Amino acid sequence: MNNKFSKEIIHRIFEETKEKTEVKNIGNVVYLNGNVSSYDQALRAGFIAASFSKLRGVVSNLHYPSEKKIIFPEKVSDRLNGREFDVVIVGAGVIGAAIARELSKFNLSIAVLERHSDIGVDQTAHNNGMIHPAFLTKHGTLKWEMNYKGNAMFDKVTAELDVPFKRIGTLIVAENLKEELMLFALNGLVKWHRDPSPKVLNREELDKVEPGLAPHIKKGLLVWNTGIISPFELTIAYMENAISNGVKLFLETSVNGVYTENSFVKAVETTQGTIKTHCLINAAGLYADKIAEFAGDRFFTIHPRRGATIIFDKTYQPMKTVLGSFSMRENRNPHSKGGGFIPTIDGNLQLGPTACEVEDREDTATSFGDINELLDKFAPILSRLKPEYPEASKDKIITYFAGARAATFKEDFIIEPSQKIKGLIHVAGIQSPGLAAAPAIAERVYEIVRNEVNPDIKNEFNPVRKRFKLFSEMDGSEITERTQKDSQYGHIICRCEHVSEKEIVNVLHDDIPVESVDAIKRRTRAGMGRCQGGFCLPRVMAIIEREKGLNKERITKNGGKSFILDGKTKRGEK
Amino acid sequence: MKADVTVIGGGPGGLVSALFAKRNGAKKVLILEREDELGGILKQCIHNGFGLELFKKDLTGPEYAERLIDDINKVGVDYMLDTMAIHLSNDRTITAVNSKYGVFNIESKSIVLAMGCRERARGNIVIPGTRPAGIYTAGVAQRFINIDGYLPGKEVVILGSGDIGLIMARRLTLEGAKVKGVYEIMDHPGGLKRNIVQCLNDFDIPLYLSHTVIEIKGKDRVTGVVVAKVDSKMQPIEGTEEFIKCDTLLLSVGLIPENELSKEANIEISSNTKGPVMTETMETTVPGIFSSGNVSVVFDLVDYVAETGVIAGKNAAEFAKEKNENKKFINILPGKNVGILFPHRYSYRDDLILFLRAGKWIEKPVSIKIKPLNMKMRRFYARPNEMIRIKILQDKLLSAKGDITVSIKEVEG
Ligand SMILES: Cc1cc2nc3c(=O)[nH]c(=O)nc-3n(C[C@H](O)[C@H](O)[C@H](O)COP(=O)(O)OP(=O)(O)OC[C@H]3O[C@@H](n4cnc5c(N)ncnc54)[C@H](O)[C@@H]3O)c2cc1C
Ligand SMILES: Cc1cc2nc3c(=O)[nH]c(=O)nc-3n(C[C@H](O)[C@H](O)[C@H](O)COP(=O)(O)OP(=O)(O)OC[C@H]3O[C@@H](n4cnc5c(N)ncnc54)[C@H](O)[C@@H]3O)c2cc1C
Repeated sequence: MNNKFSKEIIHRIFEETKEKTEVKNIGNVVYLNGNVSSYDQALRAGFIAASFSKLRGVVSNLHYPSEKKIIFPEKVSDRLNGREFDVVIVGAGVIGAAIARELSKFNLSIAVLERHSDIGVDQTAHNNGMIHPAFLTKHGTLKWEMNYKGNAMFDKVTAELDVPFKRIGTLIVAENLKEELMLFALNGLVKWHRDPSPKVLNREELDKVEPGLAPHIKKGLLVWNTGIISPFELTIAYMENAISNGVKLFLETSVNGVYTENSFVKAVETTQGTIKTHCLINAAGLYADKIAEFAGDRFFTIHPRRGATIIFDKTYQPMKTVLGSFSMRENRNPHSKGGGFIPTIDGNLQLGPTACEVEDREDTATSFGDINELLDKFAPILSRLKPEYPEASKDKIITYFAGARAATFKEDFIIEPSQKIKGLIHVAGIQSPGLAAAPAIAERVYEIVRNEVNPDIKNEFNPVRKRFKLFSEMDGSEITERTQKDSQYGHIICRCEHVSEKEIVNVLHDDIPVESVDAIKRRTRAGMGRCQGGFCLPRVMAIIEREKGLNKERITKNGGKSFILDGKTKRGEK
Repeated sequence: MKADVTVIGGGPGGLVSALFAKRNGAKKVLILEREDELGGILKQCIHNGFGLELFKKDLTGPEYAERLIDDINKVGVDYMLDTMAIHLSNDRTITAVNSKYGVFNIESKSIVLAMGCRERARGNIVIPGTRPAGIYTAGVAQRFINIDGYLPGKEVVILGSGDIGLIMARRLTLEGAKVKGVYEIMDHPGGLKRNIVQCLNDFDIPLYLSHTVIEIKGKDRVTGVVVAKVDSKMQPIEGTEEFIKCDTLLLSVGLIPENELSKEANIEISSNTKGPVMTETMETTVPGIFSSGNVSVVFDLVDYVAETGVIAGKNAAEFAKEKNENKKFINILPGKNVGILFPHRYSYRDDLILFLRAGKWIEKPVSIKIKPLNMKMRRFYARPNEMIRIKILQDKLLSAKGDITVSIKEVEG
């Protein structure tokens, strides 16, 4: 039977790709072995295998010419040697951070290990900050369940953690009579996906939520629970709250191996030494399959899917909701939540993301192709707005970026204790809508840990975190009052975004120990404005030097070896 | 706080404006400067070439600034350093912030804008690729080297042939860095001829016209860029891509007048100069708010900046004494082959100093025509990288009716 099933997969792969592969099926996990002609072919084989239902996972061991080896960072110290924690979480993306905060409700010692010099800088920092409604995810999948549950939790979480969050809604507009009828069917579909009380609106009601609609639009469906948030700020908030509840965070600490004994987790090997633990949570995003492999429990493969996003200047604000139409829905990429124009909580409109399979997990480069693709693909949505609205042209772009999604071939989330290794919990394949799902995922992991470890509940858990108030959020008298006490409040460092010295100093002394220019930029917006850091970069560096005692030559843009300067000038040497 | 004339920005434009406001009888003249020193961009321009017109001397930037600072101290201009103007309203109230007072207001009888300009950055010109360390505007690199005493890199590619980029090519070479080339998307250089010769040719640094950077490579730090030739529509030509190894990419792709405050005060901004719409008296469209230097239009010589400061300072002082809201004016319009043209209006109160740039590169004799004055001026060529200055006396203009149009015509022979 097993054999027959494997043969069927081999046959299908050969029929569709002309590639000869070997297939092994062990406990409903399919392992693809052999050599194929390219990475694309390996991908196709993976997807074909995954299309067979009832599989737990697909692992691709397919080799191809010019295959790139994944290199893990080298060991830098032994400073964590011998440390022991009840729980070790690998990865400080939004998922690792949310889990850390949730588990800090238990009486457990918890460490979060992050390979980068800052948290939330992989998938999390590159996403669109949309708290998706659930109707665009496939009904019945784990993704869908986490999506609708997570979405509903955002009001409470953001209130506790003091993170700006706004429900702006998704608005699907009807452009003719037929589409107006379709709205009612869509309404049913949305409800079936458990998005709460969607509403068909008439023109008058439409004008209230989206004032710029074109005259030919008479009706639309508002799915109001779509929200926007800064994914990075949410991650910071989760982590700060976790730390204040006792969690330890270790940056620049990459997990390069897992020690097990008799199928029990014993310790992790890191670039800063070996850390003992009996409970390992794999929230490593793009490298979750590698962590699974280290532990001897590889049952899925991550294939990165890059998405690029464009950010427009703040003066370009044609819409208030996430706008969709029926014709847009038809040419959706099957593996993307659709995308389009998405307002951000900071007030810039963004356009994205694209969806493109890439081999390199670190591939976050953008191309002209991305920018043109986005403008070509989504510009038509603007025809649903009043004709006098200016078009989304290139001169309104202030920046653009790309990030890779951690997709598996099954394309669903994996949130479960390992079937092989006691003490290992996988939280993997968390691609979009992972941000929207984060609170629900953390809660699910809480339940798993409770069952597996059975820990005590902490009495003194504090769910509240207060954010640092920004200069740009204060009125004049408040700034004056604060300046009298501490002159740094009145000293502007970033002229475009009005960031004061105080905010920058505050970041440098936060619980999350960062010291790169980008870490400051992500937290304060210093350098994100019109001049893109032209004014504040040397000034921010001077503050880092002063506050951290770090020589300017050692200051990095974004951790690692991203040094900003390269030696002194002849005069500077003297 | 109250003042007769408040000048926002203490660069050469602002310093000269304040000096001349004082010299023309304004009592309290106040400069607001967000940096901890006066002098503006001049402080980091340690090369010479300044002051040839105004002081008849070849000075470095800091020397030039020093002279102006001495002068304003002598006449008794007030200034507040580390003080940033954050709002401006059209009733001439400025909101500023510093670390001494916090946020405070200044009510001023008249105001001179002198905020200078900023450099265009990567996002404004859309270069795809990764986002590593090692990408700076030429001005930031200039500051690192000349003020902080550090090198931004050792193997440098420069995109854009603006003057600051050219000057940095020389500076980096003198500091022992290797400048691999200057790539310019247009078919002509952006900077002054004298800078091409003195900063590139004298150091054997190649200039590639009709070329651009189409991709940036490198993860932590820049490891190289891909350059390509462009066609007449400035689109990269397939097959001409070339990888250039480097650790630094400097951008010298233009300056933008810094007019965020002006926009807040509802001052009309010209799409031609990207600065306020102005008259020959340097007044903007909001009465009592004047403008000088690079916030008005990007000048290529500091002496021109100073010249606008002289006029703005004088007229701001006069406005502070007797509000003169003259509404009568004619427009000054760019005609054929004229790109940038400044100022935009003539209000019959003073001589008119026109600044213009050719709209295209004409490498043969031309004639500049000013209608309806029947003025014609011959030149050997018209190059967009060199600003043309023309002074017209008030006498000649008093009878002018209807709009003034300036055009450039190729002449045969
Ligand atoms: C372009 C794009 C747009 C998106 N838009 C949305 C959206 O609008 N809404 C939404 O809900 N979702 C969106 N998503 C999905 C969302 O970003 C992810 O689901 C979410 O960020 C996943 O978080 P994570 O913590 O699992 O992963 P990550 O943020 O990738 O975190 C994993 C962390 O693990 C660390 N790590 C990896 N390996 C190791 C190791 N060996 N040792 C130590 N640390 C390690 C990494 O450095 C990283 O910080 C988008 C994704 C992309 C790419
Ligand atoms: C990086 C760079 C390098 C240059 N190099 C040269 C060169 O080598 N040779 C040359 O001839 N020209 C050069 N220029 C052009 C130069 O700008 C002008 O020649 C001249 O300095 C312009 O004088 P300015 O007073 O108009 O502006 P600036 O010199 O720029 O002065 C403006 C001043 O206003 C201040 N300011 C701005 N906004 C505010 C606010 N809101 N509140 C308080 N203060 C404010 C600024 O801090 C600054 O000090 C350069 C320009 C730049 C941007």
